Amino acid sequence: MQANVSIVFLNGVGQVEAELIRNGNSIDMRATDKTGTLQFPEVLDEDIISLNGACTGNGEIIIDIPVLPPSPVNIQAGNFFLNFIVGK
Amino acid sequence: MILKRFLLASAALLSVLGSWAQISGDTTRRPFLITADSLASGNYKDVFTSFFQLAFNDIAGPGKGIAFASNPYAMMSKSNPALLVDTNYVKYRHLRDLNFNIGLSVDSLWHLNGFSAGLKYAIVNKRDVSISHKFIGGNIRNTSQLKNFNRQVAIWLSRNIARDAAFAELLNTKVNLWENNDTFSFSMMPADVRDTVLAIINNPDNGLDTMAKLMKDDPNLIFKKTSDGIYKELEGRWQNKPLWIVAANSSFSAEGSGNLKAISPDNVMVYSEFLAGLNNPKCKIKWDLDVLASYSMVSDSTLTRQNIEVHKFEFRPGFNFVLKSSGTTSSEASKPYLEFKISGSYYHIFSALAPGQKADDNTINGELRLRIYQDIWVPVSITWDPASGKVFGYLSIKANFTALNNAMKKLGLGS
Repeated sequence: MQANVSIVFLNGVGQVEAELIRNGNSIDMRATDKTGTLQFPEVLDEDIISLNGACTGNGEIIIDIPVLPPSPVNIQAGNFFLNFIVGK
Repeated sequence: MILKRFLLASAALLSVLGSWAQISGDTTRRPFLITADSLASGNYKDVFTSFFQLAFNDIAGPGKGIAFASNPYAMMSKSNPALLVDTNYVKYRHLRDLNFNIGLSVDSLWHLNGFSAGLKYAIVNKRDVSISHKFIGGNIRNTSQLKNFNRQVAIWLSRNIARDAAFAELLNTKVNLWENNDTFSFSMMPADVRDTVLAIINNPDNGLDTMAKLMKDDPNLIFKKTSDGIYKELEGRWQNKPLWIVAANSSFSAEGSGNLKAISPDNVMVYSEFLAGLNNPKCKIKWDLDVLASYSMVSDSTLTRQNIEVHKFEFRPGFNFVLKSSGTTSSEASKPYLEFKISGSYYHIFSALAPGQKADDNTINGELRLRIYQDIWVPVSITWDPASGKVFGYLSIKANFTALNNAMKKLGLGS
């Protein structure tokens, strides 16, 4: 399945790096420094979508497939680090 | 309703602050300002407003007034929240760099007796981290160890979730909390989660030596406070960068009775001000350069008619010292609590001189600012004229919306 990771930065700018990890291996990496969507075309249950980044205002992260923790996740000014387990 | 709550809160706050205003010893009246930023120094806030600012002038005197300052972007984004999205936020940064202000003054019977207007534009504003990708990039570089920790946890999860999904989900929930909640300490995790996290950190193959040292120094580490400290330390460094503004202000008086009032200018002023930090913001005593040049046209009080015939140029270089900051951590050190500003002024009067008046003059000025509560400042200003030996002083109160909102909450009026 495809996972779309949408990032919205408000009241400032931001940057996010996303990595798809499976069985201890890096499968795919995406990054953006503006509001937009990062696409992972081949995601399996129990994959991990690992995110890190920073923003100067606030924002929201939305993943359009079932994940734990459930999205959307709000972010505030500062650094953020998140891991999402796919299929939960 | 909102206006009523605001006025009630303002009245309550002013009743507390009024006593300070009444001990103002000089004829020079300074406004009671409410500003939006809490991080920046009081001096920076005086120079540039990022969002909204409200001022009550001469609150305890017979000539009351209220002034409002904002910028076009703040007004536009209130009606169109799409402008807050980062691409628009950057695109319209020049609108945020433009401040405008309007003010009304009334007499003791609340009759309109004047108004004012002004514009201010930041030619250079390197202090605005909110639009800086360089600032964001710096943060991401500075948190590489924390980022690697998050990645190593992801790798561990992906390897172990098939074996024990419930524990992997518990560990992920707790680690996400630890990484993103500034009240969640390491000791608040279950013991088996702590053991696994420590095993990840102490695994020499994971390259988390710095993280291991942090845990050794503080076994009860709050991860989020560490990452916030890195962010705020860099943000503090950005507040050292240059800010250069140009501005024009004017005020008018309205005289007459009823609805037929004659409007005439009281003063017109154009000025430029430059601020820049001169030492490392982490130093216990931080100092800034503050240079102002102005040309003003003010009233000649010896004339019976309204006029702006006194034309004066002032050049005022000075230094602002932040004498004391709260706390010892880098994140707290960037919040000034006591400031002292010293400056020298050179004046030149271009218009006709009054008997005994000199065309050129100098004064030495000092201003002490004490943050008495969150974002409420008490500035005490003193001006000394070396030639005449005269000393002038005044005291006023400054606060921002955060402080006002907190005051409203304490009074049971806030939301």
